Amino acid sequence: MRTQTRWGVLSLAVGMLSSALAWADAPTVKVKVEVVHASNANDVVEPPMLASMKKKFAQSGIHYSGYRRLSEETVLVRSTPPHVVALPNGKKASLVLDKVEGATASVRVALPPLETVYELGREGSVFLQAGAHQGGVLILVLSPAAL
Amino acid sequence: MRATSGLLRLGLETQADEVDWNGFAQRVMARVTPEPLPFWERLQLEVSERWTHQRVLWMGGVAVAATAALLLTVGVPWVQRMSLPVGYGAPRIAVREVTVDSRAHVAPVVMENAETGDAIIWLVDHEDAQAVPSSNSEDWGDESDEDAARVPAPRPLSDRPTGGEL
Repeated sequence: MRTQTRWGVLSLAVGMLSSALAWADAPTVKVKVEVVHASNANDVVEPPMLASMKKKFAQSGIHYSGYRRLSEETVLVRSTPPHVVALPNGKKASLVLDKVEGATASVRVALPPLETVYELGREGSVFLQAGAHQGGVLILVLSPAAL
Repeated sequence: MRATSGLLRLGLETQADEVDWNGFAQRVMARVTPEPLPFWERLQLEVSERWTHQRVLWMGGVAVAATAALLLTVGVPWVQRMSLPVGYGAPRIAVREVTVDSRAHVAPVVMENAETGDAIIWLVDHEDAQAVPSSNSEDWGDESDEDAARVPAPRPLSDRPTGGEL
């Protein structure tokens, strides 16, 4: 009886260890995620580096006078479980690794009602409209992690 | 015969000693006008001479040069690729798929800049949004989902986003 218990504990430990190793070995990608609040309530651009974002939006015909970064983090994205980014307006964005083909990975971003898949690259950013917030709009910015 | 040879040599050496040989070589060389060979001829001559007399050294040099060229053409890009973080093989970000739940009554507008890789994905009111009762927004569970269609309007523009260049 005791021997059976030992074998059971041992097999459980081996199983947990192999699961942990498999999880650690699973492909992951690093993505920089920023949450920016844009509004016409003021002309503040904070931090100043968001001026380039303001310019890009203006060139696309989207004019907001103020841009303020609410958060910035570099996250590890796996195929499972999804990495969830909670937004100040109650929405949640979930990021999962869609696939890895060769040296290029694709990330799926679910931000209801929007769902996007984009291929990672060393340059460029993806700006996703993330709903209204405090008289303005939230923008989820996905960029390459520091290379 | 041996004695005759010795005497002859002695005589010749005596005669040679009487001549002043100082600066002889310089005088001869001064009279020889150096006429450089054409470039290609010199090159061919040099190569053939080196190939004949320094073949091993040449082969080593060629091997080193070939290895260096191989490292430059294959090794450097390989090291660069290996040093990149996982997944960043592409030079620029590219949007592959954009979908919106039809119940949200919004349509995505994707504005991409192929040069920089930037992409703005904006949601605008779908044309049938007015026909949908507002109570339908509860289908999303989270009321804020419908906010995408009701974000505060940006400042008045001469033209709305049309999917053009950033």
